[in-house]
Parts: sequence; structure tokens; C-alpha cells
Amino acid sequence: MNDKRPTPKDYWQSLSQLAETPAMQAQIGQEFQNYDPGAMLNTSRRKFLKLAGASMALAGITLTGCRRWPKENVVDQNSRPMGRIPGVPEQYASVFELGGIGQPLLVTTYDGRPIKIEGNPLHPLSATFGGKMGSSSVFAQASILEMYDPERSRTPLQRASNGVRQPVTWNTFNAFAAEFAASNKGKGDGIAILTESTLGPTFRDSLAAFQKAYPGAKVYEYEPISRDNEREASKLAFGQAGRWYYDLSKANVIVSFDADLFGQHPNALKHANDWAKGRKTVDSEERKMNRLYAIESRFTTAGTVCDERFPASNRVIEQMVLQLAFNAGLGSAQAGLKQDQIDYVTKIWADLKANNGKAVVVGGQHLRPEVLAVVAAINDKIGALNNTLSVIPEADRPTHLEAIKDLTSRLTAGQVETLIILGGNPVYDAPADLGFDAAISKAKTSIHLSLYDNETSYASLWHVNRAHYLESWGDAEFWDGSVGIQQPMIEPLFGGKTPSELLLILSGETGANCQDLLYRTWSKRLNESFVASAASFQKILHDGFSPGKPQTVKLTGASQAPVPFEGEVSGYELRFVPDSKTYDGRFANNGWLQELPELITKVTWDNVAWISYADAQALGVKQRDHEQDVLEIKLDGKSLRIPAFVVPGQPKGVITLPLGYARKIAGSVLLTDRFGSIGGGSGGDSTGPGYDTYKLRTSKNLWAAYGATVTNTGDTATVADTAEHHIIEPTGFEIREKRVGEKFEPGMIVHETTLAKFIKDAEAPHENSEKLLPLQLFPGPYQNKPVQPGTPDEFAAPHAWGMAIDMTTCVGCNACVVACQAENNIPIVGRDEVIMTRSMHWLRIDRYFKGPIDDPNPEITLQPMMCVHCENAPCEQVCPVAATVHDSEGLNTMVYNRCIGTRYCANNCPYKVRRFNFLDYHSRIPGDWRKPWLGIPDTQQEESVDKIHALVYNPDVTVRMRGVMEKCTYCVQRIKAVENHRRIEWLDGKRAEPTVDDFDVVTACQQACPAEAIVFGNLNDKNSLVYKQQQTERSYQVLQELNNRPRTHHLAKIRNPATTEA
Amino acid sequence: MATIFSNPQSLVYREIDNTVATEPPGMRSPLVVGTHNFSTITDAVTNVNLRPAPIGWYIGFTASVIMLGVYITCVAYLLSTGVGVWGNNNSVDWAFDIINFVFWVGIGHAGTLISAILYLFRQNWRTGINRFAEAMTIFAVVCAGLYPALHIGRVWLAYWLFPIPNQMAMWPQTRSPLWWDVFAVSTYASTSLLFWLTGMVPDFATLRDRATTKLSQIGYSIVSLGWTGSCRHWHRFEKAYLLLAALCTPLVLSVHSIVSFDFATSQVPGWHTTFFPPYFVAGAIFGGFAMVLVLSIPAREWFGLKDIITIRHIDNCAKVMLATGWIVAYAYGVEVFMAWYGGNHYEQSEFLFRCWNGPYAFSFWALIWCNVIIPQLLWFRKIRLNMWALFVIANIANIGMWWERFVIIVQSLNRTFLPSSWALYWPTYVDVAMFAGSFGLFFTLFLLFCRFMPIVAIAEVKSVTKEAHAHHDEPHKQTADQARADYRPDEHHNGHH
Repeated sequence: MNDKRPTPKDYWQSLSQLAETPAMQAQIGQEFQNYDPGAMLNTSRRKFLKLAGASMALAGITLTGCRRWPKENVVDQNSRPMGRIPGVPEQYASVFELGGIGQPLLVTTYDGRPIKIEGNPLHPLSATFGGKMGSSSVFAQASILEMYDPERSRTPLQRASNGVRQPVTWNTFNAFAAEFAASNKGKGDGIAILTESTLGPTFRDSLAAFQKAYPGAKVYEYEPISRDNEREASKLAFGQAGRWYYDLSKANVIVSFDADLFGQHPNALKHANDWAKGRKTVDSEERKMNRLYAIESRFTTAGTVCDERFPASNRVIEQMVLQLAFNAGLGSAQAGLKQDQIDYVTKIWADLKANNGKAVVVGGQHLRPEVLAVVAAINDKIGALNNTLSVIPEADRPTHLEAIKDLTSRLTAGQVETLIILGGNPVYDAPADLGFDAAISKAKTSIHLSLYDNETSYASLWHVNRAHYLESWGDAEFWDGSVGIQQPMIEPLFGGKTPSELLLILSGETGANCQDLLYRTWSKRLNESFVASAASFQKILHDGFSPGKPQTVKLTGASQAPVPFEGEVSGYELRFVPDSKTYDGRFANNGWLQELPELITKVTWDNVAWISYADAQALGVKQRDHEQDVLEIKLDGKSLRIPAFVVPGQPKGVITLPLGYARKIAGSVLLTDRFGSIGGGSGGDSTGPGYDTYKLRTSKNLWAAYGATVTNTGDTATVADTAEHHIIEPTGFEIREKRVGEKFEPGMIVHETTLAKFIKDAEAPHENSEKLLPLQLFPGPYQNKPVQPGTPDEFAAPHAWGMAIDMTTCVGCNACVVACQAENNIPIVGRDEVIMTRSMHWLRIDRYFKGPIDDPNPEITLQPMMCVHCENAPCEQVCPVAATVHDSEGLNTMVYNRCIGTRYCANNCPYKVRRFNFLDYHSRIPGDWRKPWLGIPDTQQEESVDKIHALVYNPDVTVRMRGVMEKCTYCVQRIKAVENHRRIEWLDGKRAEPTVDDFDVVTACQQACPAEAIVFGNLNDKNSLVYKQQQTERSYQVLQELNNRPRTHHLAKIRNPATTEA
Repeated sequence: MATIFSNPQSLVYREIDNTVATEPPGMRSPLVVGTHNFSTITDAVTNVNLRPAPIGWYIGFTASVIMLGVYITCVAYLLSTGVGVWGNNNSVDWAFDIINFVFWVGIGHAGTLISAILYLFRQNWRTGINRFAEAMTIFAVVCAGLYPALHIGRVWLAYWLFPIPNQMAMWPQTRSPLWWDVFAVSTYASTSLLFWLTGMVPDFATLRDRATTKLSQIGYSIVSLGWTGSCRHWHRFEKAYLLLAALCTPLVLSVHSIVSFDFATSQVPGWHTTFFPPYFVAGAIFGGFAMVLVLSIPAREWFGLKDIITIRHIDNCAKVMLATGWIVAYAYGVEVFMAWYGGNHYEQSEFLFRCWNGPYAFSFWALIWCNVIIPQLLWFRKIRLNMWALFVIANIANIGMWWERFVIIVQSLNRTFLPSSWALYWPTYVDVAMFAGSFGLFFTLFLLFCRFMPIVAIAEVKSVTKEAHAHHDEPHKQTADQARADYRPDEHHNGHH
């Protein structure tokens, strides 16, 4: 072409070819390249001494010349660490912290990419099935999606002098930090730190170091969902700040006063596991069960699964606690109570007294400290102290409310020059009457460290992007006082910093990282020699926690303070509760959580005002499908418009308002409404999905407010719930009642009974259902029998997979639903698609209210439902292209690449567990539901799925395209992985049988379940737990009269109400 | 209407009542009225094709093509974006797609019934309307067949439904009624098409001989397959036609029976019914005859064919509707009765929802009104002879048949076994536009047919006229009236030309 064309000798096709060139050979031949010995010889004596001196000085001062610090990094996969096999998943222990309390985790990573979170089986708080696996909460499960959220903040943001916010580099921020350090070192009177609740020792050390550098700096701790009432009560009752550890495994009788024992409680996993242990004994010879009473102001997980429930308003509950104390010989009788309330308390007391030493009374963490102190005193009377109730001591500190009040007043008074906010979102969630959002602008400099650029970031001068916990080193305290280590699974995707690191940067130290900080703290903590501490640290790192836990306080009785009441109040009572999906609002941009159906209301993407049927009748609130009347709730001059949602069993006069919605600045998950207006419909105060209930939450009434007025505005708003409200049409109601049964009675598909009846007649749970009709003339080809390997019967496989779902112990915590979503790459579909009944969850928890519509105290039965893997599957016969077929081990398999999407299988599935990809949900941006437009179908996902978001996919599971049917596979990828492994061992002569052992294969839902309600395994193995469970008298097949012969059996629900009622 | 659409060449302006009821004892009314001979019949039919189209045709055609455009747009949107553009959901996985499929297949029934079964049963009155009805069948099957092809999630793989040898070594799953459907509908479509085209060959030849433009001469020459009208041609033609009629006859029963298997073989309450095949066939004939009326009443008016498509034809169609309407009514009754008598809770509750207060109970009553109650007006001769009334009733019956499919599909699916999965279905605008658009497709094809093809079977109609009959009675000298009175078209004409 032209003269600049490279000559042929410039080309080289391989490295070896290049290496053979003479020039290269010459270069390789030199031991010290680019080293010119002549240069040294030509150096003057003076220069030589200069260099030598400088070298010695550098080596001596910094010690870098003498010591080689091991460089420990999260290793990228370009240089493979020894022993690592690409494509083979590895698991690391870590910690997920929420509200200052850690949850022990085991994180599965694929080639350095975390893809699944499970509970740590080694830690007693999360261990299930005797330490064979670990359970985890919905928030922990879903946090993996948060890590891969492409909308997490990626750089620091600075608000320029003209008010415009712009992304800046870390160098810019570091320069600012250096300047800050230089001018404030040793002083810091105007510095305030507002941090989230955390008990991690490393962070505590960093904070102390910061305060040492800036002696005047003040530290405030605030979280909107706080456990302060319990710690204050602890001080009142025991004279020691601490948190209360309930050991439900030792309790025959548990009384819950409005505690969300298995849901929002930080120790919910352990509670569920312990409680379930006392339920499973129903299958034993003695047929015994524990008993759970729930007195509550809304349906909590405890009330959902309890044996006896009593709905009451918060105020009545407080009085009932005092009445119970009166029964226990403390205080005086409560005059304001009605006779049925008094009788109920008397009944409870009788049961508690009869089970002295084996009972516990639990108070909700929102109850006033004085009331909780009374709870402690009652526990003292029933022998619960140091037995079923113990106290884990905590250092004392001001309450979160006091802290935020103090900070706001100091801000308002102009006493805070620099405000450092570590995490949290106080502009959004501080008590509404404090005016924190206005006060923050009084600080000259405000710095907000956060995963997302949120409301508080927007109000601050600086936003600093935070590293996700899966990207950072850290530690946290568990509920039982043990401390766990957080280790990074991946380098920070967007280069964020941890709170400890930020504090260090602001102290002027730029070199250290959170790993060093952790080592510093732990070498101090371990208090061992350097070598010994390194060894024990490795063990702690492997196990995920340090085994030593603080001694519980020896309790010597509880004192109680008088409980003040303001006298009678009129109007509605408002109860603010943390949302079971967005918590305090921090998970607003997490699609898995947003789309999770709330246990009781089955509402996704929104919060609604829970209202009783009686109040709804009085207010003229109508129930429709996906469209609810909007209420106007007025309290102390503030008003909120929010859709009403009738919840049977809600106490009359109480409106429950979940917090954590209507975020104003968050990611695109907020924009989900195809009807144009976000939040749906004409009514309601909403900027994102849901309604801003924080508006009514003031420092006076953080948890319960009295005297609200409520009016029905007549406007309506759409609500994306996954269950319909056919409960009010007479025919529908009668039919439902026949299918799900009357209260405490068995129905056709929901089998349940009371313990008393079950003891008398083991068939009692099944009496209303049709019996199995073996209509088949010939046995099907898929009936597996245990066979010896090598027999010619090709249909007889060594494994016959099956599942047992225990409706008695399921607490409805939703962990299985999210675990399934994470494991199986299930897409979120968006709010409008949920309204169109297109949610994709393979596993759903069917929630049935039982009892008449106007029953103030109905029963709830939970029935987890997913593909039951029928042996005689109706879906298989109708598929024209053989896309769903049976395998030799009894799985009803779904062949995605064979499916053309006729949807006939879904129509013919009596359990309605098949899910169709109506649109390309994986590639779709929520809020833009019709994307992609004219994309070529087979390449859409390649092009349209966000590259970062795509990292969250489990590589063992196909990411389904549009037009394909999907459903539960029993986690076939997990089965096959273990099966292959065992088979290879067998072929190598390391095993006698090629079969897997019990608990070798664990489905994602079973893994997540804290109550051990889901059991999976090999039915051919007569010693397997699943086989034993399917042999119990409670076991039944849902819709067995259809002769589908499901491999999943449900175990009937047994309740244990007090004998007086049975 | 008449002023715009009447063909000026129409020979008769006064309706002659030739219904069976007016026949004197022992006599038969003529099937072609007016003073027609062979050549005027040919004129009357070919004028539709050879003369300029009436303005009404252009109006109708434009409207149809616009609707066809809507249909094509909807299909493009559907294919590029996914089935999610419809309102179907995870509880109601089939909705407008299969409702419209069954609806159109049902309409396609009457054509072959008239053509084949009535031919075999020597019902000569069929000659006036059979071409129409066959065309209607073909186009309805086109509309129907597109729905199942387009409703699947991955349309580009629809060919997997066919048993084509392939590298995957996969065969369709023969236990699925959907696979039976593929064969039932494609066999029905191909056989009906063959039957229709075969029957048109002599008439195409007539058009070829009369065509005035070069283009139409060439076109008609090709489709008339070199027809000369020789005895040998006629012989072969008659045999082929008879054989095809025999082939088509079982298909009339099989296709809708098999379509009904989509539902009957499943275990969905409301679908799981052995009674479905005859019920569906009867319903299809009911709806198909209604559609014949909807098409022929305006067509005979606009194209001046009242002498050939006479009141008697219309009257007979109405009577068939009345009879099959009662079969359908009986079926509705039996369904409800069996739900109660069978004692199955799920079946019973399904019918409680369906008839009493389920969310779509209105649709059940819509179908009862449209298919059972209003058609009872057809008992009255005055109504049967009133074209306006008949046109309205036939349309109502078609609407009723659509609701019937809605009731069966959506109502059954929206409340199945587990109450947790009960969900409502509402169509999106794409559902509605695509359904409306499918009428555009149908009428576009139908109006093209009216313009370019012989819309009445000329040769067959001639065989039932006085003239065809006349040479038998050569020795007699008769007045025209006597000849008319003596004429017994049903007894003599076969095989005589």
C-alpha cells in the first residue's frame, strides 16, 4: 500500500517464533537485562556512596528491605492459585450484617465469582439438620443480587460550588481527605460521625482510632429499625444492657407478645429451628408438641404458625402483659381489659405455670422498655431466666432515637462542621418530626458513604461509594455473642471502600486497607503469639467465626418499673413495622426482594395499610383485584395516602404500616409501572413503588401511634399482589372452604388437624380428602425399585428422588423462595407483570386464611408449593414436542431447548406450578417492559442482559429465553453434580455403591429453610430422612385423587391448641 | 344498501318464495327461480367477475385490507416481543389465541359439511351456496391455523410440530392432542382446498372463455387446467368430486372432534369431558351455518344472485341452525347435569363459577342468550324469511359461539384446583386488535374470492334447473308453469348434463 507497510520480519505468529529471533535470543541470554556494568564502573565514588547511603536509609527506616510482607489479595483468575480447578465451585464462610447483628454465611463462588449465599452449617445459629447444612434469611440470600446491581454507585460524587453533583475520582477524594486531616488533626470538635449499628470489633477499633486522631469528634449511631427498647428493658430489669437470647428448643410453652419470632427477629433462623424441633416430635411415639401462643397486633410469622392466636392492638397487648404479670403475682389487675382478654391471659398463665422451667414469654422488640421489663419479670416467675431466656451483654450507649435527636439539634445549632455518615439513609428514614433532611444542610461538609447514591447522598456534599460486604473484609457479632469474619469473595466491582477504610482515609492514612485493619484487631483479640494467632486466625477464617462467645449474664431475678399509660385514646392505632422485603428501605433496589410476595398479604413491589375486615366495612373499603381503595391517614397534622388492604385477623382499630417504601432516589427498580404513574393509580403518596409511611413516624411514636383518623378517599391504586381476594364472594368462599378446610379442620388439599384429634385418630388430617384411586391397569415404567448396579432393567435407577414438605413447621419466612430464585436464575418480572399473574417464582408459599370472612381471629395455613414431580405427570402427556419428560430417577424434567412454548403443560398442571417466559424477562429493564424491540430472539440475551448483572447467574443453570416454559427441577444441577462425583468414586473403587448418601444432595430450598420443613432425598434409600418422612402418618399427596402420584409429599399440619379448646 | 350494491345486471328484483313450505303436495319448488336458462345463469354468475365491481366491493375491500394491516402489525409485534403482548398469564395460559382458533375452525365446518355431506346425501339445494361455503371454510381455516402457529412461545421452531426427520433425532410426542391437531387441521385444510379447487375447474373454464382481458384469460386458463368440457373431462371430474366428497366427509367430524380433544383429554375441570367431540361438531355446524348466512345474505343482494341463492337456501340454513342449536343447547344442559350428577367437587365448583357467580358468569349467560334463546326465533317462518332479522340472528349466533369458547377456555382455566392459583384474565389491546384483524384477513380473502372466482357453482346450479331437466320431458308440450310444477330436481338430475 505504502512505504509504511511493515516488513515481513516484523510479523510473528507465535511466541516461540518471536523467541527464536536473534535479537530476542540475545536479550534472553543476558541475566540482567538493560544492565550496563560499565555504568557502575563509571560511577564516581561520591555518587556510589550517595546511592549506597540512600538504600540503607530506605531499608532501615521502613524495614521494607528486610521483611517481605505476604501480599494477600483476592486473586484474579488469570494466575490460577494452586489447587484450584476452574469451574469447580468453592465455598467460603462470611457474615452478613443487618441492623448490627451478623448472620453466619457460606458463600459459593465460581471462578472467583460469588453466585449463591447459604447459611454456615458450622455455626449453631444457622445450622440445620444437625449441622449438615445451614439456613439463611431472605435478606442474606438476596444480598448477592445487590452486589451485582449495576446501579450501585461506582465513583465518589462531589457537589460543586454551583450545586451540580459530579462524579470524581478517588484521588480527588483522597486529596480532600488529606486536606481535611491536615486541618483537623488533633482537634475535630466540629466533627460528627453518624454510623449504622454495628458491633464488629474491627469497625469499633477504627472508630476508636479515628476518635483518637480527632479527639473532639462525636459518634452517633442510628438505625430506623432498632433493638433499643430491648436493651433499655435489659437495663431496667437486669441492670445490664444486653440483648435477649431465647432458647425455644427447651420451651414446651412459648408465649409471644407481638414478636415476629421467625421473621424480623435478628435471631429468627435459630428460633425457627428450635421451635420446629419441638414440633417434629409429633411423629414420635409420644406424639408430643410444644405450644405457641401469639398475642399480636398483626399477623406475624409467629401468629401464622402458632397454636393459639389472639389479635389485639398494641395498647391492649401491653395491658395483657401487665395482666399476665398480675397473674404471676406482680403489679395489679388491668382495669381496661375486656373479659375475653382477661380469660385468655389466665389461660396462658395456667399453661405457663404448668410448664415452669420449660416455658418462655417473648416480647416484641418494639414494645416499650417498661413493658419488656415486665416480660422479663414474668420470665423470672416461670423459671425462664438463665434457662430459656439469657442475656448477651452489650456495651451501653445512647439509644438510636436519642442519638439522632442530639445530632439533629447540634446540626441545627450549627455545631457540626463536618458530618460523616457511614451507611444508612437518615434523610429518608429519620423520625419525621426531627427535620434531619433540613438539618444536614447546616453542616459545612457532609460525607455520605453508601452502596447507592440515595436521598442522604443527594443531601450531602460528598457521596462516597461503599464496598459491598461480599467485597470487603470485616467482622460482625452474631446474636449469641460469637463474632464472625467477613471475607471478600471478589475485588470490589466498583472500587468502593468500607466504613473502616473511609475512617482511615479521613484520618490521613491512605495506605492501609480493611484487611490490615482486620488483622490488627484480630491479632489483638486473639491475644496469642504471632504464629499461634496466625494459625487460629486461619481456622476462624475457615469456619467463619470465632468459637468463643461472651458469657451470658447470670441473671438473678428481674425488677420492673411502673408502666405509664396516657389514659384512653380514641381513633385508630398505627403500627409501624419493618417491611419483610425492603427492611427499612435499604433493599428498595433489590428486585428479588421487591418481587417477593409478602407472606400475609402476598403483595409485591408495594407496602399497603393492613386493615381489619370490620374497619374496612366501616370505612366502605371495597376489595378488588389488584386495585385497592386509598385511605387518608391523619396523625398529628400529618397525612398519608396509602391503599388499604384487608387482612383477615387484623385486630379492629389497628392499621399496620410497613416501613421502607416510596424511596425518592434509588435505582430503576423503582420505575416499574406501565400505567404511567409510579406507585400505581390515582391515589397515594408515592415516588417509587409503595408509600412513604416514614412520613407519619415521629420520635414520639416510633413503633405505635394512637389517635389517628382514617378516611376512605374513594380513589383507588393498583396493588400487585399474587393472591386474589375471592374470599368475599359467597360461592368462591364456600368452594375455598371445602378445599382448604374449615378453621383447624382438614380440607381436600390442605390436610390438618389438632394434636388431640391426631392422637385419637391418625387418619384425622386426611379425612376430608378423596382417597388415592389407583386407576392404572399396569404399573408405569418409571416406578423405581432399588436395584443392584448392573442389572439390565434400564428404567430402574439407583435413585428415586423425592421430597417431603412439612406444613407443621413451615414458618413462611420466604427464604426458600429467594434461595430458589438465586439458585435457578429465575428472573424478576416487574410490578405490572405481577399484576398480570406472570410472576416467575418456581416455589411459592400458598397462604390460606381459614374461617369465615368476618372472623376476627382466622387461622392461616401455609402450603409451600412447587413442581411435585408427578410420576404420572399430566404435563408430559400433552406436550407435543416432548419438551417435558420423565427421567429414570423420577424427575419430571423440563428440556428448555426443546420447548416451543405451547403452554399446554401449564394448563394441564393441576398444581399450577409451571411458569412461562411471556417476555424476555432477563434482558428487560424493569419499567421498560416491552424491551427489546425487534431484537433477534436467539441473540437477545447476549446483547441485552447487563454485563454486570449477568455475573449473578448460576453457571450450572440455563438462563431461559422468552417463549420457554420452566418450573422446579428439584435443583437437577445439584443432583447431577453430586451423582457424578459419587459415581466416579464408585468407579474408582472408593465406594461400595454408586448411590449418594442422605443429605449429599440438597435442594436450594431445603438448604435455606431454617425450620427443616423441606427434606429432599433418595426414596430408594430406606434410611433416608425423606423416605422416613413420607412414611409418617401425616404424609399425603396433594390432589392424590387425580392419580398423578407426586414424588413430593406434604406432611399434614398439626396444631396444638390448649386442651380446653381442643 | 340495495342502491349501492345491487348489480344492475340482476334479472330479478322480486323475491320468489320457493321454500319447502310453499310446495304443493307432491311437488317441489324450483331451486333456481326466475326465467333462467343455462346462459342467463352463466351470465348472472360470471358478471360478478367480469363486470366492474360495485363500489360496495371497493369499500368493503379497503376496510378489510386496513384490518389486515392491523393484523400484520399485531403479528409483527407479537413475534418480535413475545407472547407477553397478550393478556395470557400463568394461570390462564390459553385465552384469545385458542378461543379464536376454535372459533375459526368451527366456522370452517359448515363449508365442507354443505359441500361434502350434503353432496353425498343428494341434497341438491346445496348447489346454490356450496362454493361460498367452501371458500368460507378455506379462509376460516387460514385464520384458524395461524393462531396456534403464532401463539407458541418460539414461533421460529413451530416446524418441530411436524414429523420431519432431523439431526436431533427427535419426533413429536404422539400422545399430545396438539399433535393430533396439527394433522387434523392440516389434513382438513388441504383436503378442503383440493375439493374447492376441483369443483371450480369447469367454472374457471367458463370464466376463461368469457374473459375479455389478456391477463384474466391467462390466469383463468391456468387454473382451469385445460378444461374443454368433453364427456371424458366431465366423467373424470364427477368421479374425482365424488371421491373428494367422500374423503372430506369424515374430516368434517374428525377435525372438530380432535380440536375438542385438546380440552377433553386434559384434567382441567370444565375441560375433562368425554362429551366434547359431538358437542363441538354440533356447535361448529351451528356456527358455520350462521356464518354462511352472514356471508350469503349480503352477497346475494349485492351481486344479484337472488335467483340462484334463493330464499329456500336461506330458509334451509336457518333450519339447520335451529336443529344444531338445539344439539348445542342439549350439550350445555348435559354439561351442567353431569357436573352435578358426577359428584366431582372440582367439576361442580367449576360450574357454580361458570353459571352462578364466578368472575366470568356473564359470559355463560351471554352464550345462553346468543346460542339458545335468541335462535328460537327461527321457529317462526316470518323471521326465517326476513333477511334483516336472519342476518342479525346469525351474527348473534356467531358471537355466542365465540363466547362459548371463552367460557370453556378462560372460565375453566381461571379457577382450577388450588385456590392460590385462581387468577383473572383480561385481554390486552393486542388481543382485541389481532382478533379484529383476523376478520380483516378473512374478509380480504373472501372479497378477493368474490371478485375473481366463480362464487356460485355454475355447472352444478345448471344441473338443478328446469332446462337441465327439460330434455327428459321432450315429448310433452307444457306451459312454463306446468314445467315448473312437474320439475323434480331431486329425483333426476344426477349425471345428466
